[in-house]
Amino acid sequence: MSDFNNTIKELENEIDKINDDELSKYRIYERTPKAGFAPKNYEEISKIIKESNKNGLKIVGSGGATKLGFGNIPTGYDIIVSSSKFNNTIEYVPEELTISVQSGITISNLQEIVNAKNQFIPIDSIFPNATLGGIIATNTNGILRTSYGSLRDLVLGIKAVDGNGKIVKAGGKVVKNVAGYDLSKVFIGSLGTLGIITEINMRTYPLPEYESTLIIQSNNLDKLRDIVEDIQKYSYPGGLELINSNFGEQLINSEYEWNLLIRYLGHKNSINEQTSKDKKILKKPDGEIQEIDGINSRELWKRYHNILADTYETVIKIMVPITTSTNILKSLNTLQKYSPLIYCEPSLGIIHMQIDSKDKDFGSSEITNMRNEIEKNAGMVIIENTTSTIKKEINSWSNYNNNINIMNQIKNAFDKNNVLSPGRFLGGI
Amino acid sequence: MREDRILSELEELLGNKRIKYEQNTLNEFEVDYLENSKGKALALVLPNSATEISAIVRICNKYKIKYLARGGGTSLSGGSLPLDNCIIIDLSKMNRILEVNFDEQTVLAEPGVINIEITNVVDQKDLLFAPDPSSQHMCTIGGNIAHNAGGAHTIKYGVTTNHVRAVEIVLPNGEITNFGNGLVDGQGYDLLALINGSDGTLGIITKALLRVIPKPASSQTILLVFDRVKDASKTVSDIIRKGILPSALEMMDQIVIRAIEKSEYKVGIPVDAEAALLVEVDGRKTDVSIDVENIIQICNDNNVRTIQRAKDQKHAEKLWAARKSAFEVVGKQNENYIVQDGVIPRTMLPQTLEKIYEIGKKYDLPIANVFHAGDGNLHPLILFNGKIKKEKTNAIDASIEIIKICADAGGSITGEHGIGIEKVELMPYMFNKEDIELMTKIKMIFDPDLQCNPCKVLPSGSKCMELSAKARE
Repeated sequence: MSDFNNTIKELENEIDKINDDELSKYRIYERTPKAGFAPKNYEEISKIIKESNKNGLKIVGSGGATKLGFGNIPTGYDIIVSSSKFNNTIEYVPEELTISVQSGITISNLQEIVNAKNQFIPIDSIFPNATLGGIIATNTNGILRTSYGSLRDLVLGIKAVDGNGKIVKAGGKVVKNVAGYDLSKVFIGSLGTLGIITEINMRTYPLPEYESTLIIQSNNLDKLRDIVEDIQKYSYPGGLELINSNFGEQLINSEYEWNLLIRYLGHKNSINEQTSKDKKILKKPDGEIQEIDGINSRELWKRYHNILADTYETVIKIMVPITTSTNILKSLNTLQKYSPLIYCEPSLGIIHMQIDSKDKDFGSSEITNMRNEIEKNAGMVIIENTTSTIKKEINSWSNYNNNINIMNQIKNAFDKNNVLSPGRFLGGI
Repeated sequence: MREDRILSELEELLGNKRIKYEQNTLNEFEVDYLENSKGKALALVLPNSATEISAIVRICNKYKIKYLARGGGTSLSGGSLPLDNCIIIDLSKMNRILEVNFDEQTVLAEPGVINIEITNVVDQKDLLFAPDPSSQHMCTIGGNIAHNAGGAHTIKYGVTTNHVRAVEIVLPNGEITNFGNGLVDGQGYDLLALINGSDGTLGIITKALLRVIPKPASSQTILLVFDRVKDASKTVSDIIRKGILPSALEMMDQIVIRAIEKSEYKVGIPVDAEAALLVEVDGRKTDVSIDVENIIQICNDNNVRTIQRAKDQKHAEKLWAARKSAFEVVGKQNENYIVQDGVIPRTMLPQTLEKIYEIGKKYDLPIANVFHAGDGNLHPLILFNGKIKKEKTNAIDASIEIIKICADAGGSITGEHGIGIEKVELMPYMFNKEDIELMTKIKMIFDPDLQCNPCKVLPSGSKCMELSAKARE
């Protein structure tokens, strides 16, 4: 213990500390770090990591502390390292359609910076103060993934300090780059187990001039599925979300079981033409179609995020073959008694379910049953966030886990003493 | 002898029709696509399945013989050039399309399937496979993944890694495994992304699950001719600045234009023009019209000489065939060439071209330029007479100087052709010692005995340097 205290004292002399009374903000399932730091440069990050290596301490990196609940409970948690002082723009040349930023920049600040030059980055988090580093570490994508792709398509390069205290540069600054091995992508979704991400190079896109959202409501999920199939073929929506009754009620006072939201982005004339056409030619949903456009559409999607942020409790991510999305949604109806918010990207086969699991019977056995059913049919179920009880009882990660041997060796190459984020990742990494 | 024993074990495994070891058969497989380099192979084998490939790899391990995979052999960086007496594992006959799933929008293909076949097989449902390197009628899927192939449409549609959902792979220890699970997202470290662009040095791909996407509702191809390179370059910047994201934006300089206009691919570009741009925009019909209007305006502001709008699909294909023929026509009309593949920030296009022309003057060699202006990926073709040794060394030196410019500008030494053998010594221009050490650690995880496509991508000691130098003499 005194070794620990000496180490912390030594670090405190040089590096900005997080006040002890703020450490509870970084709690991960009943484990609170014993100390926290907000380094301002590479030497400081490296020092924290090297000292931790020497003294057997374990570190978790954090940005906005919005998704610390990801993964399994860490097997060690001594120090939190915050990216709050690493939040500058390094280089932004709009004509290059790329931007380099430090990892602690929040997604809302980042969007502001690129919006000012009529560009945007097609990722979002339900938490506006989520940082880009955290977004990458948790592979958080967003609504526009349907048309713009995921982080894997948008991240060009990453700089980090690895678990050995060394600076790692992966990828580059340009869109076309096949020099060496593409290690930048390996950081995506790595939950901070390979390094503390410090800098990121991202693609930017022209900011669409206008947007509109069609809301198609129905009690007949099969009809909505048919509409999705048609839309995918010709309409190029910017986003496609299928939400359940609980979510629809909160978002748009919907009285229907299912609501399909189709978000269009582009030139105003083009969108008006498309939505008029789609309203006429889409198959009848046995329900209603309405359109919300312009600034009202933007506001709708902000509310979408806010609702999800407010109900962020037990969050389960389900991934299935695209064509089985609606069948899986139907099977989730058995969980209706827990009043879940369910949202699905039907053209990607990704479903999220948010349940307030306090004071309810919804627990490990319900999740395990659901997981077994879905994984029997080529799907995967990951528990992103939940209560301590559930996290202790079942694995956050899906049972699909081959190649653990290779992953262990990769972890070892970046972090030989398992200092960073231990135990949270797949396979106990 | 070790070599005799391995050959007899391989013959036992495959039968005598699927192993070749006569030198006059091996000759064509020992040269790279541009015939600038010659390596050395022990034998060529033709497996039919992952199981056979696994057995071949295990036999190679047993005798410590090196090996590599080969598809169409079209690599422009010597990716399929055998060094150090390799066994060439020829996958060109493992070329079946195993499954097409229109609802999931995926195609499961063996690695020897030719790139264009993927689009052909889904065309009936208005789908396409986006990665379209100019060699797409000859290059194979396995090679596309190994090199993370690009093509003209990467500015909007990305590169091969963005269109692969899963692979089945034989690892260098002989194990057969899958990276990616076919779903859009997964868990764990993204090993699938690691394989894309690894130049076949981490294992041998035996199946690939590819993503296909809906064809755009509408598209318009336009050929723009400029008297001055400066005006063409500025047009490129202005298009991006206007907020237009073209699906393709290609540039050709005068030498390329003249070569095309002398060939069967000619499309009527005036041969005294300094540069031509081929632009394509796609998407909803009205969006396309608006973008085209804006592009025409930008061109007129930049002294465009002629504008040729594709009247229909056939006309568009003709314009594209002209552009894609660039390497072929330049190659046919000149003795030899080296092509480089550097990337620069788009805004540095005009000054980089100037520097390239200066380098050409310095070494007294013509340099033709065709490139993906939309993403800054240059393809300078340095023309020389291979029979004159001095010209060959000058061409190599010129190409290295060009690469240095790209690295110094914060770009990349290779945008899509891969490191292969050709750019191994240039890796330090982009990566420091620690970066290369880390990549070497990754390589050692997969292939600790350095048998899988030896001497490619990473600097790996003096023996490799010697072999590479010898190959390029």
